[in-house]
Parts: sequence; structure tokens; C-alpha cells
Amino acid sequence: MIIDEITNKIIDDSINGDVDAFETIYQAFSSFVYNVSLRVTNNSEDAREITQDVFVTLHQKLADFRSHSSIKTWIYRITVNKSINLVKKEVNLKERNQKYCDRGDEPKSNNNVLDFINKEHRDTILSQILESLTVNQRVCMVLKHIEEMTCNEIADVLKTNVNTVKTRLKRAREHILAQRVESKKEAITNEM
Amino acid sequence: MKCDQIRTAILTDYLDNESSQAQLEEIKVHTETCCACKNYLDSLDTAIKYPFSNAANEMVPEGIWENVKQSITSRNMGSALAPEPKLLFREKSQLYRFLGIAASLFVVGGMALVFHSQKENRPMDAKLTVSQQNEALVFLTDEYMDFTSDESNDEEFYEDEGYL
Repeated sequence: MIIDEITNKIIDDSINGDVDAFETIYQAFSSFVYNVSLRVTNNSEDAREITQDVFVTLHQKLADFRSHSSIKTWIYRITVNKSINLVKKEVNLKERNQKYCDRGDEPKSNNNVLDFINKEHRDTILSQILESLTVNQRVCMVLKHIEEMTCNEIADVLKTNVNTVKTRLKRAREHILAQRVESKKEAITNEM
Repeated sequence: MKCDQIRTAILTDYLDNESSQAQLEEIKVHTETCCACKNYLDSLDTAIKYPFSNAANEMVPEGIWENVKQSITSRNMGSALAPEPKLLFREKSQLYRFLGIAASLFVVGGMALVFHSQKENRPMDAKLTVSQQNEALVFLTDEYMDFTSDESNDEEFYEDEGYL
């Protein structure tokens, strides 16, 4: 089920207690909800918990949805807010990073071992990059560069000004670039 | 455009995918001749574009829907068994409207109370006879005279002390 195929009838049926209709909404949005919360929290257990929480909240408040313009924006907003709140509550970032790196849900057959190593390497790099950013910058970078949303869409989800989004993106990129330069310097110093 | 303008454009509009065709052309022409800006563009591609664009979507773990479904079903059953509580305000807007009216009434009531208490003091002044009014006028005049004479004394004092 594609997100844009969620019709008002499906929403109405869900409000009226049709669990199958609500499952259709779940199938359409669960990948986005899980992946965004995974990138923002950097922890698979947290992402799982947030995904569950988002859909329970969604079901409880679906009747209030009529006043909203787009269910997509609404679900994105709930996801981002819950992820930000959880990150702000978390204290031990290193522990969460370790949990994310330790997840063992990937197939490790001999045929795709190189792909697996490359993917793990990319994930670790991305995980480290995201971890170094502030939570607001992280959300903007995930929505922009992974979910490929426009700055206006991100501003709509975050209920903020588009210039604020652009500024967060610019600062995040400057930070990533500065870190890269720093790590290169460290590598050269270590070689010497 | 100068190098710093090109770099800002790369860091913002270019990476946001919001560059105009003219801006893209300008960046392309500039980076073909300027090694420093070409390196800057390459380093951004490596540091940002590569790790993010290759981020694969993780599969949603199994079992989440079952938990959600269970939560929804138990909630539906709970609401079917328990009678719906009678809410005084069904929506937040109704509550805010009520609070607004209550606050307005409180302010108006307070103002009326203050006005009333002031009005109660006034009849005393209004009931003064002509002779009482004259006495009051004389009293105020004397007070004024005393006050002005005090001021002249002060002036003398400052003159004596050499302040003026």
C-alpha cells in the first residue's frame, strides 16, 4: 500500500473500529515511522517502541484528524516529536550506539558477506555522523537526505519556518565537514 | 560568483536540491576551473551525499503490528464495556471559550466592585454644606501659604550654605 492511496474511506473505517482498515494505514506508514525513529534515536529497540507508540496514539486520535490537512504530515509529525522527546530523555548515548551496532537481524551468508561488511561500514559511518549532530539537526538531515523531503515539507512537519530548516541543514553540514577535516588531521598525526 | 559565494551555494541550495538551472550552471563552470571549490564539492559529496544516499531502509521488525492490534482491541473492548464518561467539554476549544468568558466576567466584576466602593465614599463630599465647603477652602489656602513660605525658607537656607 502506497501512502498516497490512503483514502478518506480508509480513515473513516478505522475511526469506526475497522481494524483491517487501520492495518492498511499501518502497512503504508510503518516503514517511514520505523526508519526515521531508528535514525533519530540510533537504537532499534527505541525505534520499535516509538513505532508501536505512534500507531497506538494515531488510533486514539484519528477521530480528531479531520481538522488536519494531510494524514502524512500528521503521522510524520507524531513520529518526529516522539523521537525527539525520547532522545532528549536519553542520557547514555554511547550505550544506545552500541545497541544499534549490535543488532543481529542481518543475514550473514558467505555470498553476500562483502555487501554485509560494506553496509555495516556505511551504517556505522552514518550512525556516527548522526550521533554527532544535535537532535534538531539530525531530524532535518534524516528527513532531507534519507527521506528526500523538501525544505518546505520538513518545515511543515516540524511546524517551523523554512529558513530555520535551511539553517539547521547548513549548520549540520558545516559540522560534518569540520569533523571530517578534524579526523583527517588526527589520522595524519597518528601516521607521523 | 566568487569562491565563497559558490561554496555557500553548494552547502545550501545545491545540497538541498533547490538550485536553479542558472545556479547549477554557474557552479559547474566555476568548479571546472577552480580546484579549491572542486575539492570542496567533492568533500561534501563524500562526507554527506555518499553516507546518506546509501542508507538503506531497514525492514520493520515483526510483532509490532500484533502489539498495536492487541492494544487497539483491548481499548475497543474497554470502551464498549465501560459507559462513555460525560465530558463537560468535548473539545479543547470549548474549554478555552469557557475560560475566556469566565476571565472576562471576573475582570468586569472586579471593576464593578472597585467602582462601587469608590462611589460609596463620594456622598460624604457631596453632602457638604456651603459653610463646610468654605472651611475646607480656607484650610487648603492656609496649607498652600504655609507650603510656599517653607519653600522661601529653603531658598534662604541654600543661599546661606552657598549652594545657589
